[in-house]
Amino acid sequence: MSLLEEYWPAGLGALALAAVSLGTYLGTGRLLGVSGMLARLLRPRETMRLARSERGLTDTEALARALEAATRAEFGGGCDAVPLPPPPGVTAAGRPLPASIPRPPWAALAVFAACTALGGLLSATLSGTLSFHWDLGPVHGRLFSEGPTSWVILLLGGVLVGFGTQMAGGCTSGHGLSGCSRLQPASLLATVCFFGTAVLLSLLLARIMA
Amino acid sequence: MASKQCPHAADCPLFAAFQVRAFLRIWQMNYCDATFERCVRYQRIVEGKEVPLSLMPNGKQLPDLGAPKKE
Repeated sequence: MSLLEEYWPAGLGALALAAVSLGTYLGTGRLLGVSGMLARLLRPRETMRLARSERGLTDTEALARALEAATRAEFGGGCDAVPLPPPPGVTAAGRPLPASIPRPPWAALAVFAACTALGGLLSATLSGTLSFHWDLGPVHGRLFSEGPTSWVILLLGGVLVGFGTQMAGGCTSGHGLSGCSRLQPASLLATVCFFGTAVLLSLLLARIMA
Repeated sequence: MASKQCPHAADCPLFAAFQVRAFLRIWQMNYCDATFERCVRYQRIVEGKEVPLSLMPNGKQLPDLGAPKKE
């Protein structure tokens, strides 16, 4: 007996996605963006180097001192000679610098990726649809033939998705969930583009397969 | 005349820092509000690369504040 139907009810899925988005923000202080997280996961050396380079920057007073030194090094006496007005609402002494949010460590990205796979496994188990097989299903087989060719095409599809998300600066989670929920124009446009393309392609394939 | 500000200013943690200290506004005037195209942070965003918080608009890195001090 399955605990869940084959597919989750749409409303429950929406609630789960909202919980993951909100949980990521509350837990890490950063917006959810799975393609970016995966890209950082696949570049462990750069991810760790970035984390090292930002070590200590959460100390706002130390950051203020470092910024002051960098300012003097860049502009010399010019920064004192030019009487710049303080920003609106700020006294001459200034306000405390905003606290920077530490970058999630590489291990946290690995845990997130593992939990993503485990979530799919759990969902399939609860719905009673868990099975392991090496073919990609009858529809994929009809469209792209069987055997190694279908796997090569699948790999090419994955590469195109990766290329597209890097080019667009986000994927369905980064633009679709995090960006659209903040009404970011670029994310709204990106989501319209990739969902619109997906709907059109689905309709086209349905017609071809009919 | 309409001001031309970096489109990534709202999400830039350094821009937020420039906003709260008059002393640091010289960066904003020289990069964010003027020729933001020469800001190395902007260039990295456009190239889809990670932007370290410690990277200044001129391409120089802030020192590693967490490193132990040399005697």
